[in-house]
Amino acid sequence: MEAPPLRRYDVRVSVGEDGPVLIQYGKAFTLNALGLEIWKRCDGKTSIADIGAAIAQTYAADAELVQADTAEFVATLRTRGLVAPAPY
Amino acid sequence: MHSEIFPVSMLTDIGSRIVTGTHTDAAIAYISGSLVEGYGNETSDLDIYVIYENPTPEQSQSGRSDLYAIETDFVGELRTDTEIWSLKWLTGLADRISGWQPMDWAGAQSFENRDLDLAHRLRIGLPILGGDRFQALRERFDWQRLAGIIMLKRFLAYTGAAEDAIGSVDAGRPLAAMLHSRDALGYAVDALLAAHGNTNPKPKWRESKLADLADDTLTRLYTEAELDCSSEPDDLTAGARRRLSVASGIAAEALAVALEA
Repeated sequence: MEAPPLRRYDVRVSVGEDGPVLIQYGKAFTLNALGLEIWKRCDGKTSIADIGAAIAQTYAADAELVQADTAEFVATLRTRGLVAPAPY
Repeated sequence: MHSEIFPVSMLTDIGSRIVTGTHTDAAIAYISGSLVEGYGNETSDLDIYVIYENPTPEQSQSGRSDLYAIETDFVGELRTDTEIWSLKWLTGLADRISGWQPMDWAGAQSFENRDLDLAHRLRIGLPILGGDRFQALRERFDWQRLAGIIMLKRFLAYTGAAEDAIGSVDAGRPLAAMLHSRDALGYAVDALLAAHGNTNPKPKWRESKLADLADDTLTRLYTEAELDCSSEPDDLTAGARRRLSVASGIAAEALAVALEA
């Protein structure tokens, strides 16, 4: 099982022309509404499954669909080095 | 919410005595500040606001066009600060706030903290003179927009402090990292509080504002993130990293709440 994703210390939340963005050393990564919801739950303790379940419950959305989107988004965050592999 | 230290009837009585003795021509007067809001303690003062339709030049002692004078007095051990303002300035401030467009970052930055505090103090004020006009003036303010302006200002403060903290961590400056990361965390919390509608712009009441929000999870998260294990450089740096990570999550929450509103 993958470790719960943890927001890296060197990533700031900001706002760009198209909405919320993550900034890491001058590089911007645009977030949509779902991305923002996932980001705020990446506390290093909550599993990807629990993040997806919480969002699906909050927005009364299709749980399976949200789970898949969450897993895909977290994978992108990992690829881009925006979430840390281990707790601080 | 009012002070448990000084009964509200006592505060309004003190305010009324000061105003009726020296400001008989005022259009509006009200008491406000931390004691009225319920945040104050025994060392807090009572703030009295006196609003004149047309302040005379004699009342213009502060050398400013908007704030006419500040008078300090003591009633027993309670200090009172009386500020005299023109009605025109306050109605102008109300119109500026109403004219601000949600999520206008540059517009939010154009408001001074002092003016935001003045508006908030009107919101929580209790009238002691000119009750009807006080009510009309208060209804002229858009409190949701005031909260939105404060949210954006604190959010921008978060991004600036976080940038400084990240730079300090990477430069191997643990003490600076600790200080800047604490600022970033505090501003992120303030942004979230404002996103939920709190219009008190002063960080010094953060603990009281968190208590008002009654979000135990947020309060615990904030408290734990503020702590450091020790003053050892490695612990300070680890604490700063942890704090920045938490601040980023809280800032994201603030943004999500603001965008939804």
